[in-house]
Amino acid sequence: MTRIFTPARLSVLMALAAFGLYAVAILGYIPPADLQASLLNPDTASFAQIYVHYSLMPRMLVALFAGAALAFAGTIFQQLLKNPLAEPSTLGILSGAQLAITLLTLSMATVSAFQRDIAALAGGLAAVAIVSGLARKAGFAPMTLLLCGMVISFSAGSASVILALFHHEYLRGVFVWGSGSLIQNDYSNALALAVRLVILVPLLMLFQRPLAIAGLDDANARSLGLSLISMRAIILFIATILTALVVARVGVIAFVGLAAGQVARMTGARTLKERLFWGALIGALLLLLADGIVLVSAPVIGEIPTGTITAIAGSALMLALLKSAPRSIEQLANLDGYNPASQTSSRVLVPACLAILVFVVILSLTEQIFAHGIEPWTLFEGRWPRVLTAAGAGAMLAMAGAITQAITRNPMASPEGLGVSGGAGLGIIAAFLFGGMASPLLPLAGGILGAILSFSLVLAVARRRSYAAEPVLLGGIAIGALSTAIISLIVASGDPRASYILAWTMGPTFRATGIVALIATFFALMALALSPLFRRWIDVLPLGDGTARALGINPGRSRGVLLIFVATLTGIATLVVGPLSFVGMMAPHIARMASARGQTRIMLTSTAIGAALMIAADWLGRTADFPYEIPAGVIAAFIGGPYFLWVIRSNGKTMFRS
Amino acid sequence: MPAKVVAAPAAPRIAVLDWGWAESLLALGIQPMAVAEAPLYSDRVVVPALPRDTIDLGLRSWPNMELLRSLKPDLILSQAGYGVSQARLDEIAPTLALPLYSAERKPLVAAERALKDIATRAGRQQAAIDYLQHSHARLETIGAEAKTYDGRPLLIIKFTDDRVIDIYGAGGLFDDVLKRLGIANAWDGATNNWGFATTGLDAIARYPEARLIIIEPGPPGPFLQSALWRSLPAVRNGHVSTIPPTWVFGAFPSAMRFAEVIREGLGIT
Repeated sequence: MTRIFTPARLSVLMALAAFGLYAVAILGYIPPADLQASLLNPDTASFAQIYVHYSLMPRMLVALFAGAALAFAGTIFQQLLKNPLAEPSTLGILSGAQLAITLLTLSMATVSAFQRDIAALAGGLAAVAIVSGLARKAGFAPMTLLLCGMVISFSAGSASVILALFHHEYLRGVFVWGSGSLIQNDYSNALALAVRLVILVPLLMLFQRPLAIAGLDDANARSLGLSLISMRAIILFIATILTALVVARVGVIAFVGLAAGQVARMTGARTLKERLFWGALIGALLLLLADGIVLVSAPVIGEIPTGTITAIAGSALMLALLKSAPRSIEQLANLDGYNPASQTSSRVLVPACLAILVFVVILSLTEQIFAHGIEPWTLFEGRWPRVLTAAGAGAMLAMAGAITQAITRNPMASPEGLGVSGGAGLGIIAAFLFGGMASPLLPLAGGILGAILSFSLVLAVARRRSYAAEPVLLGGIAIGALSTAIISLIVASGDPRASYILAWTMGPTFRATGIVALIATFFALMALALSPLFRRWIDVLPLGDGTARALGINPGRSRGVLLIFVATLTGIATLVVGPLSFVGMMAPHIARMASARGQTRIMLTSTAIGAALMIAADWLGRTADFPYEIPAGVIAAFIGGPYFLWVIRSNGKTMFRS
Repeated sequence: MPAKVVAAPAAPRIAVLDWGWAESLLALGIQPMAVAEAPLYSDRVVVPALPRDTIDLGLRSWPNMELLRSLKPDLILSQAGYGVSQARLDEIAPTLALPLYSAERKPLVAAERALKDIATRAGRQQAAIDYLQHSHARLETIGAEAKTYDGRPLLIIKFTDDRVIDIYGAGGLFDDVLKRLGIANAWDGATNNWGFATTGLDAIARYPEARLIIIEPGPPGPFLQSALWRSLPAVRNGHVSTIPPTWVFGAFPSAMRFAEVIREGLGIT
């Protein structure tokens, strides 16, 4: 089979397009006759020549170097972790670095480039250490790795957003950096990146042979006498350093590593050496191309950060890839052999959960720790909507989570990862940008529309894979990354509404009115009433498709129906408590730990636990930083993220087949 | 509770959700009981100074509704179209939701109107008349003095980091003040709802005749020594001034402060 696009031909085409766009941008500033002077020896009296020399030229170099570095590191991650979707963003490196730099900026008046490098290193390495440390327990199972990366990204991302919520005016500079703008003022970044590449790339090339062998399966590699663990750790360490040091200078630029690796493979780069070389070249040209588009369109629509463009293009690519992802991605660590050992009588369980629920409700409705002197009735009037809203949302997420975990047989699955939440968040943002703050109904409508759109998108992808839940979760990662990029863009824009929009996307229970509370409760009760209809599917699907067919159930169709059910619940809950709560993952898990037996009982118990968790989170968010209110969803995510990691850690060995 | 009825008329208990209205109240000689993000006000708006014992209401975009309720204010001041809707605030106390940045795009006019409205509600009409009379006289004086200025149009910029800047233009408070003083604003590009445009440095070079006014804090690090900065026409010709920070989204007192710092920045006497 001869290919029309070899890596070389594609590179030439991309180079022509990218350099062509850059030429158009440069010639917008200077006449062609001045080109040579501008590049080599600019006239200090001409701003245009100086601008081309000191801003556009280094910008071109930075795009090329950063693209090459991210793609090179991405290919190494992909090889090392045997996962075609591994790259700086999906491993949590970008979010970790961003959080560290945000914290640094808040704690110091001025931040030097060197301090930023150190912070990015610390944040990136911490993220990779957690992700890879946890995934190791599951034998680096691809899905587990990506889920860990997603949780780290979500947790670090929500921490960044909460900081932005309270300090968005101080943090604008950080978010300008975070949105991945490639604007340059001099050659310092280009030089810094060049030095990093010259040192770290040859260092990584030393490991090329062991790395190629590491791509074999573990048994083979072990028989060759390699100390796999330590070799992996060293390579992972160096590649992360390379990524973090690039990120510190250029900001959050996601998906270049993923896209370049994928394109190199698709055009026929086979061996590791080929993939590294062509991947890096294609990555460099991809970023240059994206930046060229930004430059040429800037006079017309204003300067969009290049990182935003790569996030949009990258999430689309990721969704497209899911349609044709290799089976290996779906080798999901699952629940086979995972059964709670102790199955004590659960007669007390449901009443106990209900008792906890009642206690939390009474506490939240009556306490007067900070706001004194309010009549109990007035207090109740003000609080019942938020308590009821939190309960409804928690219950819906827990139900959705119980179903997702049952049909995917994955105790780590979580409806928040479906992408429906991210889509709702994007819809809310769009409603603000186009409709303003006039009516509270507008963001609600935007959120519903966004949830439906993203859900249809994910569903269209999932249908090709007979509604297997794993690709759907990856779709969620893609949409999640996109909404992070858009949030950065908004804070960076300096819009005074930024904090208001941020609060809305996090699902403020304190904004809940009586109507919202009643709607949330209505849907939660409806779902509870409908759930017995799905009982048979939920009991049978975990036993495998073969068994399901033998029992007269069409596994694809029933999974599809359940998915629609789950997505509807998640979408409604997201509008109320935001996209990042992890309650849908936590509640069913706690229910199982409390020895709930049988899918139906697990579902009922988790519903009560989910409601209680969310009411408690709402109360904590109200009191932790009084009079400032932290959205309940964020509090739940702060508890849920570590809980998730702890669960993987403590159960990894028994729960996952490696 | 008869005790409270006696205490009420002396000093109205006013809760303020917008800093522009907080500074307007202070200009009228009224101390607000509570202000949203009160500690940050002292950092950002600075003058007129807010007394330290002012109660913090939480975020401006999203104040603590229970705290607001428990304070039992006589009046709530909010910015129309920003944050909590007037309907929800009215449930707690009578609310004056005043526009500042609206479709009208004349924040200085809106700020003056709001100052009068607030004074009327607080029973301080005379204070408002005195304050505005004094302020307008002051603007007249500065405007007259500005005739000695060389008339070079201004480009008012604020650095976000060393690569991205905000430029203030039509629809913003600063632009309105410049118009009032008879000084030309160089920026004729599009601006957002709050009257500023976010852009790169090359935008400055499009106005070679303009004088640059940098609102502190300036760019981080050694940027002002860079070849790129020094090649800007305004910088080459020495047409650069720096002014101390002024609250960008403020109301009438912020406008007055801007007029004063511009006067000093341009060396008008």
